[in-house]
Amino acid sequence: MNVREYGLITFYSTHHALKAEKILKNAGVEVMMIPIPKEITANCGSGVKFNIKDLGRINSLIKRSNLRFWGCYRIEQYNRKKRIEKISLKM
Amino acid sequence: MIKIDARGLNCPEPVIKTKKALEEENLVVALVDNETACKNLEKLGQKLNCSTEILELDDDFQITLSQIEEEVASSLTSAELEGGEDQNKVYFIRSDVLGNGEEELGELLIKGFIYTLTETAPLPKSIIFINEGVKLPTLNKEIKQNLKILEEAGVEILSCGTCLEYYNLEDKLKVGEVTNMYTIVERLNSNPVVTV
Repeated sequence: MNVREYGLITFYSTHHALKAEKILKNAGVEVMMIPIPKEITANCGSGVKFNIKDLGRINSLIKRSNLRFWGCYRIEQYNRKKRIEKISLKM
Repeated sequence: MIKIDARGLNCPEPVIKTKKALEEENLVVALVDNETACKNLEKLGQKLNCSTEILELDDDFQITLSQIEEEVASSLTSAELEGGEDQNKVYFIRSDVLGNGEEELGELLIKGFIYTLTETAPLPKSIIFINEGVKLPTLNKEIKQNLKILEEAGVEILSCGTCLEYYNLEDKLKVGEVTNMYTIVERLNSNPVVTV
């Protein structure tokens, strides 16, 4: 079965999400801006998708940035199924 | 859509309630307070050919079950596997941003748009890039990644040759093929077109 796992961090505003993208990319972390899945919010927000293995680095970079994040999730995706788990960032 | 609050109910009540609701509606959102109930609803979903989405909340689990009608189910699978009959739309992308407005936002939106295409069935038949649109399959790293995924899934990715040459991007095209106006017009004439 084709399972994909990734992390997603969402912010209170698109401006903050874009700033976070810049900060993380400049630090050499591979991230991708994606629309937030509709199971998390019905709003048309964008979040930062990342490799779960980078969670620690992202945690400290976001902490230093003073950006207000809204939620952090671990998402597992099978063919027609998505499992979304809220994870906590230590601030 | 039916919403069920099955928190505090003992097994197998959440399953029975959800199953009943699915007999009335195709879309049911159930809230349960333990993982076992969540797993049981997931199994119910598989049995009834539903797509299931699980959202883990702080203390509870929210499970969305949507029943896929037989016809849709078969076309979904075929579209996912090798491009069924529904994979017939042509996306005609004419700019390197989505919509009019701030460029930063337009770039964010087009990136999100192409990403979402990789996650949504049925896939398009073709994506055609024209004018500034050709900057996407040549210069934008993330869009290139997602276009590769689409190409591997059987989507035809076409970039206008005149445009690549005009913007001096011929060497940068690493996904899909170069095309000309005859092929573009042919594709637009023979398929439903979504203009972006």
